[in-house]
Amino acid sequence: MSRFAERVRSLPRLGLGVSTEYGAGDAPGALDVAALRAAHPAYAGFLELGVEVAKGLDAHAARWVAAGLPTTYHFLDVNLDEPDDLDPTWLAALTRLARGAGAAWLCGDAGWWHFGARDRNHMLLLPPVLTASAADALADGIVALREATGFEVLPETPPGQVFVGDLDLMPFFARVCERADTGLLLDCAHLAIYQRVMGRAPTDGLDAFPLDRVVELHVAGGTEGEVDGYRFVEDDHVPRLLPATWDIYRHVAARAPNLKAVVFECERNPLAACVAPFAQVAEVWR
Amino acid sequence: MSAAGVQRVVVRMLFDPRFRDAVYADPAAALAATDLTAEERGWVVRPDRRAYATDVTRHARALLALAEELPAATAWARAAGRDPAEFFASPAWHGCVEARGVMTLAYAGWLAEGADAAQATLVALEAAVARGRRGLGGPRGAAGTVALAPGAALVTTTEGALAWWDAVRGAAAARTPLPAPVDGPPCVVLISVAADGASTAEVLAEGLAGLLTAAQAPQPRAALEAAGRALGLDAADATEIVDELLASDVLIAR
Repeated sequence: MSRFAERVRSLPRLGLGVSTEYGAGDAPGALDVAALRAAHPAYAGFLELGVEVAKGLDAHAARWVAAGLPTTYHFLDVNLDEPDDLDPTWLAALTRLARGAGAAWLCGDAGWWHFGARDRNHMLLLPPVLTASAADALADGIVALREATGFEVLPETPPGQVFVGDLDLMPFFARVCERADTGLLLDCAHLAIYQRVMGRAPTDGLDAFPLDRVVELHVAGGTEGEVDGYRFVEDDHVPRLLPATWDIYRHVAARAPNLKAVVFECERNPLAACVAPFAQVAEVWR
Repeated sequence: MSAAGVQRVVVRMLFDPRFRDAVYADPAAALAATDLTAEERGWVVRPDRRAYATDVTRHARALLALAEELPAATAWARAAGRDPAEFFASPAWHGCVEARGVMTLAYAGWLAEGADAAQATLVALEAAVARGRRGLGGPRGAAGTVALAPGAALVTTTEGALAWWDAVRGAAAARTPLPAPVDGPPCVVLISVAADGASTAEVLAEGLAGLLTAAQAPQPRAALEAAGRALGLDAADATEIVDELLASDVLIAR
């Protein structure tokens, strides 16, 4: 297989898009992606489909796919560092779903979606243990998934409040990208939370990361919370982006030559609340 | 130690505040049963302890998923004054995480601990469905054998239990008082789970129950038909019944 630097040239530029998960569109006050596409096509250039193979696509996603509109496939049910997770049955079902959806690539949080074997309704989502061996195991899983499905596989920097290991997050993912020779989905809100947890400025360390690996960005709003006096940011996808997320987004969008797609994650909010922030997000990356 | 081992400890600390406190108080003692190195034990207590508690709906989400699969057994436990959230502080939970087990089945096992007959019946029925959904019902047999299919399971209970189970589930959904259990003669129930996850439950006639009980152990088809004849079936009926059970995915031939 050719090197990432060559493969990335064949990936389509999808522009600005939105994301969904099974049933998300049915929740009260949820974003109507079809209405967004009709009213503001530039804000809904593609739909990122959050998929558990066991559930498949919901009616909203199926309608989008049936209309032949662009998509990416965001997995919600694989621990990439566990070879047993890439079983033939799951791989076949994922490949069928992704091909059927016309996905431009596969992507998803590179952490633990479940403990033990894949099972119903875990939705655990923990960041990986930040060690060199864990990075290597993750990279090997990415290569295996890419080779089994024929799709480019972009690991996403996952959310979390607890990070363990002896590496920092971005050097960890730099190692993953190098070993797997892959691109990255950088979630700006997740990274902003990590930097805050570690007591760092939002863009610390980004200059040392090979930003030509960044193919996709996520931006989303967050809300400050408090537990026993401990203040933290909850990644709750409200429409208002926090300043640290803006800082990371602006920094990376201006320096990532292979950036193909930006998702504004606001799926649980009504269209009217999202239009203004969509315009701001679009202003940064044209 | 592998990163997975560290991750399993993190999972346990996220779900169980008492375990978390014990780890922070004395990592070596609390993690003595794991293979974590001193460096790894240091990693898991390096974050602010309160960071482990920021997801205030973690238990509720997990319990919602568990109660979806064991609705009657969960409702019965609650009615008996047992808090299902205590599962996450139990050896059953911690053992499940460390052994890469199935959370739903570990929860079923925890519910069954010290259960009265009514609770034991509900757990047996709902755990059988959960096992069937995961293809863990029938045994794995060698090539050339016939056995109960992975989506099927037998539960020994009493007649009337299925209707009572339905009534408990209905009452739990409606948040009304749970009906009292009914007594009846013993019977065997067949739980079958289809590929789409839909389940059925039926009381078996005595002969069929005997045949399927025999099929819990993988064996050549001829041996299973012989078991049927020993139960009083004539040869043609034994052959026909095994054919029907294979066609309906209650039995599987390997």
